[in-house]
Formats: sequence, C-alpha cells, structure tokens
Amino acid sequence: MRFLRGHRALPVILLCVLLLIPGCWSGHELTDQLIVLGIGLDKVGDKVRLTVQGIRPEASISTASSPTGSGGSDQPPFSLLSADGDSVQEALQKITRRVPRFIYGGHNQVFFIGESLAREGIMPYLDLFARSQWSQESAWVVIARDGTGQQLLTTTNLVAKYPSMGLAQTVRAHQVHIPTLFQFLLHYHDNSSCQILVSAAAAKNKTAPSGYQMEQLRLQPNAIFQGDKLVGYLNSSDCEAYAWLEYGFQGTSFSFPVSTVNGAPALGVSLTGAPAQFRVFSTPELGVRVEVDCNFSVTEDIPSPLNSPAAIRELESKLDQVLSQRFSLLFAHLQEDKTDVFNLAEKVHAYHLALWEKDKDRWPELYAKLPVEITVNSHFRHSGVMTKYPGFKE
Amino acid sequence: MSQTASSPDAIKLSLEENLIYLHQTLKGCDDFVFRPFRTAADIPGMLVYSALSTDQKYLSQTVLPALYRLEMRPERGFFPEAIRDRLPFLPEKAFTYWPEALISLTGGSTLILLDGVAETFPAATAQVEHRSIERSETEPVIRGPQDAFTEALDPNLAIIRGRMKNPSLKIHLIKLGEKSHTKVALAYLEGEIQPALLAEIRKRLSAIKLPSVQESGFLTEFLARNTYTPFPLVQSTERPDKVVAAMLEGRGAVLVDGSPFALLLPTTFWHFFQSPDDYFQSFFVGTIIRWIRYLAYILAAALPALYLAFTVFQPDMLPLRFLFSLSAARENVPVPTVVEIVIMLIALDIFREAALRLPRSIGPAIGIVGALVLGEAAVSAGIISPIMVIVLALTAISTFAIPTEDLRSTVRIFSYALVLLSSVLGLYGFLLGASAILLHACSLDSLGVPYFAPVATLHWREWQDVFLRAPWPVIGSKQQRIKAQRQNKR
Amino acid sequence: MQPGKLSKPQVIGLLLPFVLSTDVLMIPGAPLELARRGAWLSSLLATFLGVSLTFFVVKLVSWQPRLRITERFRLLLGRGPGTVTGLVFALFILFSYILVIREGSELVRISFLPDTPLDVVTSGLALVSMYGALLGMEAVSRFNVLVFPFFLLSFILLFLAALVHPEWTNLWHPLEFGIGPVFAGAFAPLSWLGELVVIVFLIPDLNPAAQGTPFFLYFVTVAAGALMTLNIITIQISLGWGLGHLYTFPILQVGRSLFSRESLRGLDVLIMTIWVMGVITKLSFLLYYGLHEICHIFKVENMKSLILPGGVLFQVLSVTSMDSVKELEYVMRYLAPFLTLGTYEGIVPILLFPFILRYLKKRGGA
Repeated sequence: MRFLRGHRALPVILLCVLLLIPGCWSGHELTDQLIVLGIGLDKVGDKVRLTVQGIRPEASISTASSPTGSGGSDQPPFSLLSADGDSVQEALQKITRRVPRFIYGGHNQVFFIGESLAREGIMPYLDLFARSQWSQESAWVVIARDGTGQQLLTTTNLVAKYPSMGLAQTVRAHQVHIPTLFQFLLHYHDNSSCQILVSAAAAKNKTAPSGYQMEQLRLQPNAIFQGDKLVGYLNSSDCEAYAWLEYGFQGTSFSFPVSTVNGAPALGVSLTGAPAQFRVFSTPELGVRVEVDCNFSVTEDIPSPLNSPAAIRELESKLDQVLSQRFSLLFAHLQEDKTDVFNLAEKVHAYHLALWEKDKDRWPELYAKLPVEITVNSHFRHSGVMTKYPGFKE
Repeated sequence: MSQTASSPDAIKLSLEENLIYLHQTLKGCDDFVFRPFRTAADIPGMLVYSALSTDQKYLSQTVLPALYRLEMRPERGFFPEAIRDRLPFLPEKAFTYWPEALISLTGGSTLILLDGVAETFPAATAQVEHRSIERSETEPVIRGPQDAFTEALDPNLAIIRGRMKNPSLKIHLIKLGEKSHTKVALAYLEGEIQPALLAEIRKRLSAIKLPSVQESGFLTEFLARNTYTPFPLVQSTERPDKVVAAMLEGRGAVLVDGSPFALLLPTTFWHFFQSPDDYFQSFFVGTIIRWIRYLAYILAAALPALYLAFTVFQPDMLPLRFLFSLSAARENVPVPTVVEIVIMLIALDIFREAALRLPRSIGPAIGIVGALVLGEAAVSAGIISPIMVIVLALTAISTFAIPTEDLRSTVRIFSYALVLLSSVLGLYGFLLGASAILLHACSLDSLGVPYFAPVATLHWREWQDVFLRAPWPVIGSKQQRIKAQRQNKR
Repeated sequence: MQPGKLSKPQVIGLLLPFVLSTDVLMIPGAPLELARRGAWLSSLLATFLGVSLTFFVVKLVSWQPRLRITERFRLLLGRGPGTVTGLVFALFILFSYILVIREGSELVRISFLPDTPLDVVTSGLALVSMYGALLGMEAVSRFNVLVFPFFLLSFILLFLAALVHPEWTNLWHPLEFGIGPVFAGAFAPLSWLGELVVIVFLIPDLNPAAQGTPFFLYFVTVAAGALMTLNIITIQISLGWGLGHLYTFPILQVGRSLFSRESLRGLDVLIMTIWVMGVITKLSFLLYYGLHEICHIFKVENMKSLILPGGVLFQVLSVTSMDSVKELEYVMRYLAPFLTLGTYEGIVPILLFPFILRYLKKRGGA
C-alpha cells in the first residue's frame, strides 16, 4: 500500500511524457493563420470559383489607428485569394498552396453566392463548410443578385472596412435578419423545402454628393429558394411584407394615407410586434389563418388629432386594412409561384396527418389554391413625447 | 527503559561522583557554570546551570540565600520531601536519573546537587529571550485581532487559554526530537473533537521519529501521511483567533516550541480560503470575497493554459475583434506562444523568489524593476506580446489573492503542468490535466477527512461555510463540521 | 476499498452521468433515424421500459447487497456457471469501456482536434481513467460530485438555448408511422439506460444504510430517462429530425448552432468539455470494476498492478477494433443495444429473478 502511493503520480507523468514527445497537431499560432472573413462562391464555366477574403490583422490595426482609414498604403486591408476548381475542396487547396499561412475559417462571417451558382443549386458547394470543424453554420448565406460573390467581397466602404464585417455591423445596428448556413440547412429539410434567402447587390449611393458616394450592400430578403436552387425574386414591396411576417415588426417605420382620397396626407407610424402566427385548419376544408398582432406609435402625424376613442379605433382599423392588403398581395404572389416559404406544409404534416398522407405529392398545387385568411390586429400605444401634431392649434 | 540504582545514569549519593559524571557529560560546554555552596548545616552542594539561559538574578537573590539558610541534615528517605518544604521554588518532582535531569538543565533549569542526596532538584530559572507579541505578518487582516504567535510555546499557549477560558480546552504536552527535545503541545476542545480523531492525532504525533524539530513544518508530513502531493494537507497559522475557531470546529492544534506557526488538523481544501476577515465583516461581503478567492485560485492555475488553448487551438471561441488585437499584438513575437508563456512564468517565479529572499527594504524594488521595467522593455523590444504581459500579470495578482501561502505554491506547479498539456492538446489537454489534478485532490484525505469535504462528500448542511459565509446566528450552531465528515479510513 | 464507502447521493451522482454521458452523444441519432418525429416518444418509452427493467435489477441487488457479483452468481447458479457468468459480465463492461473511450475520443477529435491522431486522443482519456481507477471509486465519486452540477447545467442550458427559437411542430405527430418505429427507436436509448445494471458491481461498496433499499435506482432511471428525453426534445425542436439525424453528434450541433453568435461564442466547446469529464467518470468506473471483478475471480491480490496493462490493452483495442466513426455508430446504435439487452441488461436479470425467488423460498423453508 505504501509503496504504491508513490506511484500515484505515475499516470500523470506518463501522460505528460507521452503527449509531449510528438508535439502538437491541431494548434496553429495566430500569426500563422489567415483569418477568413468572407467567402465568395461563383460558377465560372463548369468550374466553381472560390474567393476568400482574408485579413491580416496587423494591417487592420495599423490602418485603424489612422483617421483617414486608408493608412499609409492605398492597398485594401484585406487580401482576396481566388481559385477555380472542379470542387470547392480543390479550389481551396489551390489557395492554400499559394499562401504561406493556414486558412482559418472559424470566424467566417458570410458566404456570398453568385447568382448563376445559386440557380444551379448551392448544396454541393456548401457541403464542405457544413461539415467543417469550425462552426461555420453561423455564417450568413447571401445571394449576389445579378452578380458574382467575388464582386460583393470587394465593396469597400469608409464606415466598414471589410465588406463582410460591415455586414455584421449592419445586421447588429438595424436588426436585419440574414439566414445563416444553419438556417438554410434547417429550412432545406423542411417539408416544403422552400425558403427565402437574402440577396445583396453592391450599389453606389446616388443621392449623396459626388465624392461621398460610398459603395454599399443593399440587402433584401427576396431570393426565393426551392430546395437549394434559386427560382426567383420577390419584388421589394413583397419582401418587406415577408420580413414583417417572418421576423415581426421591430420599430418598423411605415406610412400610409389616412384616407382613400387621392393626395390624402400620409401618417407615419412605428410598428412593433411578434412574428405572425400561422394556423392551419381543415374544417370545412384546408386553409390557413395568418394572425398578425402589432403595436404602433405615431411618429409623423397629420393635422388630425387622435382625441377620441372612436378616432383611434378608426385609425387602427385603417392600418389593419392597409397591412392585410400588403400581406394578401404577398400571398397571392407566393401562391402563384407555388413557393411555400412559410413552411405551411410542416403544419399540415404535423396536425393534419391524414390529409398530408393523402396529398403530400401534390402539395404545391394544393398550396397554390390554399385559402388564406389574414387578420391583422394593430393597437395604438402612444404618439411620442407629444400627444398631438406640433403645429396643432385650436 | 528500565533503570536501576546501580546504572551509570543514576544519580549517586556522593556529590563528588555526581560532579565527575557531570563534568564528563558537559565537557566542551563552556556555558555551564558550577557554583559550589554550603548549607547552614554545613553540607556541601553544587548549583549547575547554563549561563546563557538562566535568570542569574533570581538565582542569586532567591535560590542561593534559601540554600544557605537550609539547616537540615540529609537523612535517607525523609530528606527530599523535607527539603522541598523549605525551598518553595522547587517543583514537585526531583530527578533521580541523569538523562532527564540533563534535558531540564539544557532547557534552562538550575540543578541543585547536595552531598548525600541521590537526587537532583531542578529550579525553574529558565529565561530565554524571545520576541514580544507582534502583528501577524503572513496573515494580515483589516479588522479583528492583530496578535500573532511568537517563537516561545508558553506565551502562545497562554494566548490561547486567554481566548478560550474553559476547562475543556485541553493542552497535551509532549517532547519530540530525539536530540533536540522540543516541547510540542496538542491543544483541543474536549467535547468538540471526535475521540477517534484525537486518538489518531496522538498516535501520529507519538510515532514521529526525528532528530530535531525546529519548526511545525517538520511535523506536517508525518501528520498528513500523504507525502506525494503538492496540496497542503495541514493548515498552518500564526493567528491565535484562527486556532481557537478551528478548535471550536472540532479540529486539533499542534504548537511547537520555537515556531510561531500552529498546525491545524484535519484540514480540508476549503479551509485555506477562509480568512478571519470573512467573519468580522457583513456576511454578504464575506461571501462575495470568498467567491473571489475561489475564482482567483482557478485563474491563477488555469489562465495561462486557457490563454494558450484558446489562442492556438480554439480561436473560434474568441470574439472577432479580440482575435484581431491578439493577432496584431503577437505579430512581431519570434517565439511560439507556449515558449512565451513558459519563459514568462519562470521569470515571474524568479521575481517572486527574489523579492522574497531580499531584505525587506529592497524587496519591493525588485518587484517594480521586474514587473515594470523588464516587462515594458520586453514588450517594446517585441520579444513578448503585451497581451501576454496582461495575462501573466493577472495570473500573478490572482495568485496573491489566495490567502494561504501553502496553497499559493500549488497553483504554480499546476499552471506549468496545464500549460504543457494545453500546448499539445489544447482545451482537451487542459481538461485532462484538470481532471487528473481534481481526481488526485479528491483522493486525498487529512486524518480521514476527505480533502474536498464537505462538498464532494455531499454534506449539504455544512456548505454554508464553503460557498457562503453564513450569518453568525446561523453558523454559530453548526460548528461541528469535521465531526460529520470524518470517515473511518483504512 | 472497504465496504460502505459511498453514500446514497454520491451513488446517484455517479450513476446519472454514467448513463447520460454516452446516452446523449451518439444515441439520439438512433431514435431520430428510426422513429423520426416520434424520437421523444421513443425516449419516453425507453424510460418506461427502463423502469420495469430496474425492477429486476433492484431484486438482483437488494437480495444480497453485500455480495460481490461473482459470489452472487455463484450462489444463484452454482459455482461453475456462476463464475463464468461473473467473468463474462466483467469482460462485458470492459467491452463497454472500449466503446465509450472510442466515442469520447471521436467527439473530441471531430470537434476539437481533427489533425490529432486518434490514438493520442484515446490514450489521453485512457490515462486519466486509469488514474481514476487507480485511486479507487471513492476518489472518483468525489470527483464526480464536483463535475456533475456542471454536467447537469449543460443540459438545462442547451434546452434553454433551444427555447429561443423552438419549433414545437417538429415534435408532432409522433405516431406518424405507427407504433413500430417508436419501439424500434426505443431500443438504443433503453440499452444505454439499462447500463444501470452496473449497480451490481457497486452495491457492496455502498454504505450499509442505503444497501437494503436500493429504490433510489428507480429515481435514477426516471431522472436519467427524463434528461435523455429533454436532450432529444432539445435536438428535435432546434434541428428537427431531418437535419438532426444527419449529424454524428446531434447535440453537439445544437450547441454549435445555437451559441455561435458574436457574444456567446464557443459555449458549445465548454459544454463538450464538461461531457468529456463525465466520460472520465464513467471510464474510471468501468475499468475499476471490470478489473476488480476479474481479480476477484482469479484471486489476484494486487489489482492496481493490472490497471496499466489493462488500460493500455483496452485503449489499443478501442483504436483497432473499429475502423471508422461510422462503424462505431453502427455498433453503438444497432449492435450493442441487442447485445446488452439480450444479455446482462435485460435477459440475465429477468432470468435470474426466479432463481432469486427459489433461493429465498428455500432459505425461508429451511
């Protein structure tokens, strides 16, 4: 017993010795790594073009300290590496051979996907990233509308130096929802397997004076996907309505005319509310009820005081009406395209199993004819620090 | 040890024979004085004492005059008792054998030898210069008693008695050290301490075989038995209030003559995180401070290794901007992170050691030179990264936040081991190392009380003094912590 | 170790992560694949069946709580068959050791250290578990008490994280393909829940007050089943079966996907580390009792001398016996369940039940 006590430390020592002999495998010094912030995927001919936006942090810090933002050199603070290959793996390998650093993807922020690739199906090209050691599931998937992913990676902007990081800032500041790779995979496996991804286009700000026209990414949730293929885009009014339904209102500004008379003054409101509830019912026949509940505050008033409950009720019902018109328009378009982006199929499957078993093969047709009931319930809450229009006089 | 009257170690009747023996034994000890005298009854006698450790004034003013006035003649059997009646300063017991008499002599007593008496009487004349009671240096508190033990045993015991005026405070005195004959006291509260525990402490104390005991630290490895561990299994303190509190908990205290540190046992891991301050402040404050100490312990042991694991193996755990700063800061550093850390850890320990061993007046200067000048220079020269300096500084400061030195030294060992493991296997290596350390600590026990009791043994009720510092009205009734936790081991 | 060293809460703390640490990693894949939306129902069913199996286990241990397992079998079946049964059981939990060490290592390798050779990862786990076995069950149970709260917390944390965007629809309709797949899916969780049968190794070391009434085993079964179900529900409401059954370690994916925001980065890694610690407890447990029983049968005095060669042997076996993680997955999901339920976790305790009754009757009559 006593002599064994001395050997208690033995396994620990052995462990240390055994492990220290061969050295380290998976660790890489930070300075040996190229930190990838954005990845562009494009189709060029029958090959895939992989573009990697890598950051040299030392460059980023030195330029960040100078107020002009461009630092001493005129070079952008990131490097773009690009290669073509039959597969993403092959292209990546070509890039790896070209840089003297390890490509580190743990902090990748975004996949910019060229439109031509998106139309063909993106799953085979995202495969490599989905099963990567680094959790890249949290990187956004953004479709480059009418362009290539590579182009989006080059947009520079004074406010945000790296396009991909600027995207992160935009998302944080404006609460834009961009589906991530994980969400894409999740919705791909839904019953409807239709979803809407965000598309981006680089555009110059035309209203600003010349010389101040920064390149900006215009993000819109409008790329309709069926499976992993891009099938079309929503128009801008519809994609707004889609975002409201899917993600709820978050201080959304909205203005609408107070009366149907042409040239009536517009009332500005700020809307808040949770995402819409979709209820599928089967009596008397299959249909869906969309329930939207929201609160609003008046931000830009017209000279019509809301001084009686009746007036408020009138305003509320007006807003309800305007909003439901927008939503019905969206649904009309979606049903026309037979794209079940709200994944109603899942609800039918879960709660109306018999119906689903019978009709699951012709769900798109069924969906196109599905009656949609939209009920919007808006509630007036306040009108800022003033109760009435500032110019109001008795 | 059976001695008979005829043995050479027995004290003889003849003064001359006794003197021959003494001169032989004390040959070379020039500090011993032989002072002859004659009693009123004209009996020759001899005072033997050490000039170094004897109160000579007392000797000449009280002992000698009394001996001069002694009028009785030696008669067999009766004499020693009679003489003791006349000389009130004598202890009850006289020595009949030399070895024990000599121990008393070297301890500072004066031996009185009379012709015709086969005994020697020790007079308690010992006077050893010792430090007066001073403020506690190693365990300072903001509020509360400031006194600390000194090197002398008797005043130390007196302080404890003064703080616990109760006959159930038992003080058991023994002599340890085959050559040094050091006085060792075991103090405990009867009724609080578990009898089996007490027996175990006694057994272990009496089993100690050492030529000399100069510090209570000599005894710890005998008392704890588990020698092959970096963890301190016996708590040492120089604060009397801590000793009293420990005895109330059902623990025993071992004090050694010549050492200002008392040993408290059994000890659990959590005892090292308790500072008397906790109990003098509001219990909210006490609880929070205690948690900060636990955090400091973990940080001190793990921070360098975690830094290594995160930056080299798991950079995806760090926020992007932080990663940028890290990477930029490391850009010009020529060595790998692990080498950087190990160099800095070693440098840190050297500074610590240097500052400790230097005279107190220049010790702090080393700290400043080391930390500020060298660190700053190394960073600006690009040899180490500034973030590494921050990490190491945080580690060092966390180390200082651990209240006990015994435990402080363990984290240094752990931090090296964990850094080496993390350098190979990253977070996984760190985890294996941490598990091994934790397993090891869990296997320890201090006199049968598991080291991680009461947490690891799930004695829920006692957690109030581990994770919390429960308010006094609550904690006051639950002092018997050790009692419940002890298991019969082996 | 002397008998009566572990208290009841310690044993509960020991058994829960013992069952769960492997149950949550690879096993949810099986019900997800077979029962699809009914995976959670499979898990509940497994819990229910587990409780009935526990009845036989409780009978087996409460009958003679102080006996070591081989002695127990010898008393019931006679000397020869009893010894063989005991020996095979010991080898059997060592087989479990091999599976678990491989599973834990694959988890680490896939998610943390993809470039590190597998044998390095397994030897790390093996060495720590050998150390744990060397120190004995007392130390391991105390270690486990320190780790277990974090282990439990990780379940709750993952579930709470999944509650941010739950897809409750994914849980319905559980009986989409009838009750058959739900039963089929219940097998794998049941078999790992049935690992509770290792209590027969543990019971002599339990303190005597708790030995007589091992009804806490029911509690352990129900709690483990509930946590396992919670785990599967977490997977289902965050991944759905469609995506969920594609992953080797679905729950790992939940952690990765839900915690990968800028502020909460890497919590998944922390959670996985806690699970590896749970696996260490389990491995030490298996190695200790496996070798302990073998030593008992062959009358080897010094069990500790066997730990090093034994541990190394099983570590090598764990690397060489299965080629790929797919093979491991197959073994754990579809082979081991039938093997274990067909023998020690199911059939053996049930078959021994009449023997126990006969024994009790005989003794009562005599």
